[in-house]
Amino acid sequence: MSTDQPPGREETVQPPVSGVRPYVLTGGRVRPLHAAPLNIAAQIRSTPQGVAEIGRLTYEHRDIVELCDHWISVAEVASHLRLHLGVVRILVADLAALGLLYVHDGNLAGGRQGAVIERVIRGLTAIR
Amino acid sequence: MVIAGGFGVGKTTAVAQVSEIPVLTTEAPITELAAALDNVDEVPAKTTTTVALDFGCVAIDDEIKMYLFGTPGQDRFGFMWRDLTEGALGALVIVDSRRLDDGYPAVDYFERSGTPFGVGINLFDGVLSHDLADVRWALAISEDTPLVTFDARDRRSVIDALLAVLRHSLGRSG
Ligand SMILES: Nc1nc2c(ncn2[C@@H]2O[C@H](COP(=O)(O)OP(=O)(O)O)[C@@H](O)[C@H]2O)c(=O)[nH]1
Ligand SMILES: [Mg+2]
Repeated sequence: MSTDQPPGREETVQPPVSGVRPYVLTGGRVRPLHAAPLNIAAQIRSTPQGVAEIGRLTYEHRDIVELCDHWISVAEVASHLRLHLGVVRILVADLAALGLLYVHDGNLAGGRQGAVIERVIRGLTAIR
Repeated sequence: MVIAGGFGVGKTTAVAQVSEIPVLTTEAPITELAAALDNVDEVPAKTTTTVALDFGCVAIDDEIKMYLFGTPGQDRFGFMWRDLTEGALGALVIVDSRRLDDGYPAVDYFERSGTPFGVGINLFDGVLSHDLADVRWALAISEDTPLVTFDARDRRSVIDALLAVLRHSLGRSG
């Protein structure tokens, strides 16, 4: 692990992901109840309803709603909670369908793509 | 942005140079992704096969946050590429010039899917084992595909490689 990091950077110690068969957490489902699995870069945040209902949620749902007190990507949630990305995508879509999470799909409308790339180029050049 | 390439080519190193946060790693269960896309509703027999996915992020301005996703490229993970490239601005395929073959699955996927991509040759210890023209030929990439040499341990160099990809993406965005 440590050889994976360049010198001078804080090391990220990543405990192994739980050995429990991951789909136990989703009741064996490989897709969400009501929606397509989310893009891994989609931004999510808990709704007031999600926060209010936190005590009634299962552990994994509770962890997600708690973590998402600010906008955060689906991929980051998986990493912070040490859950498989695929499982998180399903759990998050379920929570969103229940009104407990807001979801902002990070994808850009086609016409805006060029303008966004220009901004990214400018921004990256500035921090280069 | 997607950072692709074989094992040990410098993906994690490159993501770490640009990311504002320490690189996070998650396990993406590949059989699950395959199943989700193939419309299978049962749990596949082998749900524990995973592939590592690195990610980092950097604030571009007060509205845009760029995510960097690093993953090894393998043929049988083709379905995962699709998940990653949806919404991506572009992809950088990192290759080690001594092991060019490892970059082929990623190049092949991005070419077929129409994802704008460039190839960055990570110059381990400053040594390029072939001319650039030979690398271009070996990877069968077109003349307009950016092909740059860089050092995955050097922040500026990584950013320059990403910029080469983004300029190419911009040219293709119409
Ligand atoms: N000498 C040298 N070592 C490098 C360079 N880039 C990466 N490495 C090292 O090569 C190893 C593999 O790099 P890593 O980023 O983990 O590769 P990944 O498997 O593609 O994520 C690590 O030990 C790095 O420190 C480079 O440009 N020069
Ligand atoms: Mg790595």
